[in-house]
Amino acid sequence: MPKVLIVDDAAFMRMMLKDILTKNGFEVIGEAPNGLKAVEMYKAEKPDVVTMDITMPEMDGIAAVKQIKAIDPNAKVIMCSAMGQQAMVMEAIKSGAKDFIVKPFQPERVLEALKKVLG
Amino acid sequence: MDMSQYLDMFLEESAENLQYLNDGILSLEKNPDEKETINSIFRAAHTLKGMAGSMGFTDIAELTHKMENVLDKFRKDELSVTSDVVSILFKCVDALENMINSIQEGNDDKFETKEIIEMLENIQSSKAAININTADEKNEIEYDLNDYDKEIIKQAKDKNYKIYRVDTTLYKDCVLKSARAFLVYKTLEEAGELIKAVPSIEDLEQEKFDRSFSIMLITEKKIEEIRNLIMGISEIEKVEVFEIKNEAEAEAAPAKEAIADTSSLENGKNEKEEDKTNKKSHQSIRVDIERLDKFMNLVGELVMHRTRLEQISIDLKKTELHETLEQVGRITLDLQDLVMKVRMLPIERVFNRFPRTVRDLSKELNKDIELIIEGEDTELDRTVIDEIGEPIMHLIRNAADHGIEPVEERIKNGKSPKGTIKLMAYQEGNKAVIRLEDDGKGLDIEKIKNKAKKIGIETDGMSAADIKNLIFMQGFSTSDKITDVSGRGVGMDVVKTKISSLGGTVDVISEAGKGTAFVIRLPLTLSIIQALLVKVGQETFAISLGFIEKVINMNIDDIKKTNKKDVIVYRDNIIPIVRLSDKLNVEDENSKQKYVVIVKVGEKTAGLLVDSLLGQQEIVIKPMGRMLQNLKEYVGATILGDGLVTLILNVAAFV
Repeated sequence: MPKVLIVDDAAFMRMMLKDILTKNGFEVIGEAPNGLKAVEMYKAEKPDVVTMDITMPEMDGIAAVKQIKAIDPNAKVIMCSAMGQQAMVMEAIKSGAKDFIVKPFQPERVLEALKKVLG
Repeated sequence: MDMSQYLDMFLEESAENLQYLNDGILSLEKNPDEKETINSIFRAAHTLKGMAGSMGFTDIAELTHKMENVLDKFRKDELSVTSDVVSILFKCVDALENMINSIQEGNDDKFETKEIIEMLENIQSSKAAININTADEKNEIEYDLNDYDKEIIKQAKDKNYKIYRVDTTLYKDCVLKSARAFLVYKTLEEAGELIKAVPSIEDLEQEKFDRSFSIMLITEKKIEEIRNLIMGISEIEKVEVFEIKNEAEAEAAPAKEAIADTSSLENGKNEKEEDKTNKKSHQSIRVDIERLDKFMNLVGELVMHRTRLEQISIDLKKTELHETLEQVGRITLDLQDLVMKVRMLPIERVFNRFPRTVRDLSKELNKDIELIIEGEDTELDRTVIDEIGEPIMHLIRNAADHGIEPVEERIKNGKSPKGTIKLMAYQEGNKAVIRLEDDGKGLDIEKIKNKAKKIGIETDGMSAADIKNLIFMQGFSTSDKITDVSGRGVGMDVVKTKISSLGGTVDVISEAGKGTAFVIRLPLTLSIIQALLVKVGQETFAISLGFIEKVINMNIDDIKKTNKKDVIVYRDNIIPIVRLSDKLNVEDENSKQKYVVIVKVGEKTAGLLVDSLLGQQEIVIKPMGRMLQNLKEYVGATILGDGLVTLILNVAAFV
């Protein structure tokens, strides 16, 4: 089962994503409420893929992608974006994010992105 | 969650289109020359193909595509409609149904379609299959290259690099298109060097494009590699990669022999068709059933709290409060009515699959059977609609197999060789009635009696109607031989259980030689009911008013025994008595004066013995939850005005 790290400051969004993922054969190995924690957990858990929210306290998603990519250039990070965050998504892609999904999440889109990123 | 809306809609619309297919093929069999019928089947198959293609269900897309080919032959009169062809088409529909069901259950659409596809291919004469990508697909995008660009292309060629043109189309409902496009050209940039994009990169970044764009790229990689890179990005509907051999070719639209996605053109057409229908049907919207359930539940809660408030208001004796509450009461009542109506669907949804069933059954059993459907516009709660199909299907199979006699026997008995099954629905008070009649041989009372004796049921003293109703008991099948169609000894009890779980009843009326009728009575709504609250010992129970005939006050000494059973005589009728205290394991009050609640479930009557009556109230049925679901005695629980949780009796379980 592919291991996923979910990063989002809203517990609700984490729960929703976790729900979608666990029902579809992914293993959620950790949840982080901010970028700082995400980087820490990435080091410890080495997930196959990370879903990364953009706007978060402590450290935002873009900075977190940069740091994770610095630790592991092959890291697979999918950004979770809301509408209207186009520029930030592009910024994140420049920083090395592999794909992005848009809130409100549609399960099939989420799964499509994860499966494609994992190849 | 409304997240799965996309798939839900696909499933729902697929079901609709399957129904069109089914109906269409049925009427095609009757009128093989009707061009409009062929067209409508074609349209349904086509729509399915388009939808399945966009959802990525390739097996469905392939099968429907092959169906289209055959149907097209009909349209062009190259092939005539024969019974064999129709049977194969039906097989296709069944296969599609299976695939869609499998998707619905959360699996993929993989299904063994090879055999069917071969059959379909055999139907078609050996003439070449229809080419999908015909000349009318035109690529609008044209490159305007300057000398500098051309020079780059030329140099790249000289250095043995490849030049590709990558045409990408995003999902129709893709949001943040610029970011998506950015992801595409970023990915391509990593694989090589971009020469040009149409629309330009600036336009792409400012979202000045519809959903397709084209990028020209110099790279060492193979066509497939580039294609796979882009397909590795989500929300991409289609990618086409063409190799450009020289600068002259670069500006023109490339030849079409390159790798192309087959479903693309069809999708395009399909969307147009969808747009058209959307315009027509703007008066209604699709709502996720879960939202309605939630809505219903909330209204239920509201009713519950209103009842509590009323209780409090009675205690407080405040007129203003009382008046306001009355107003609230009226509004909640309207709200209740409304949500109930919103959840109602015509039973047509269930009925419309039966013509096909009966057609198949008559072929299988070699009988001539006609199905007459009446009252298909009768409306029922969505939950009931979802659940009732299976029991009716069972009854129809039974009617066709055991009810309707073989043709020779019918002729011998002076009946029309054609058997008739009549399926009717109508509303009766606050109940919906579904009646299924056949004009077959009727139930054999003697056979049922014998069978009853074998499994240890005493039939002496039972009325003919009661004996007939024994067929609903577990393990009761009078069929001597087990056929593919019915008679496995499970079934009728399952039918009854299912119907009672919906709060309904089923009865059988039968006349030897004339036929059998099953009468199913169902409540119109499931979650808010009027109930009588009764006390047995210290416990309070609720009984749905829908079942109650009368309540009588009596002395316990009036109970008589016949056949080891408790009965009372009420207005010259013998009514069996059910001691709720025994059935529910509750200590009853030690008084002589008791009440008998006379309930009627279908054709059967019984008296429930209770200690006292608390009055009538509107209650909201809350299901028992999984752990307690096998408690047959209760349909659920409710919370009363004073906050007390009370169990609601499943009357059908006691009668």
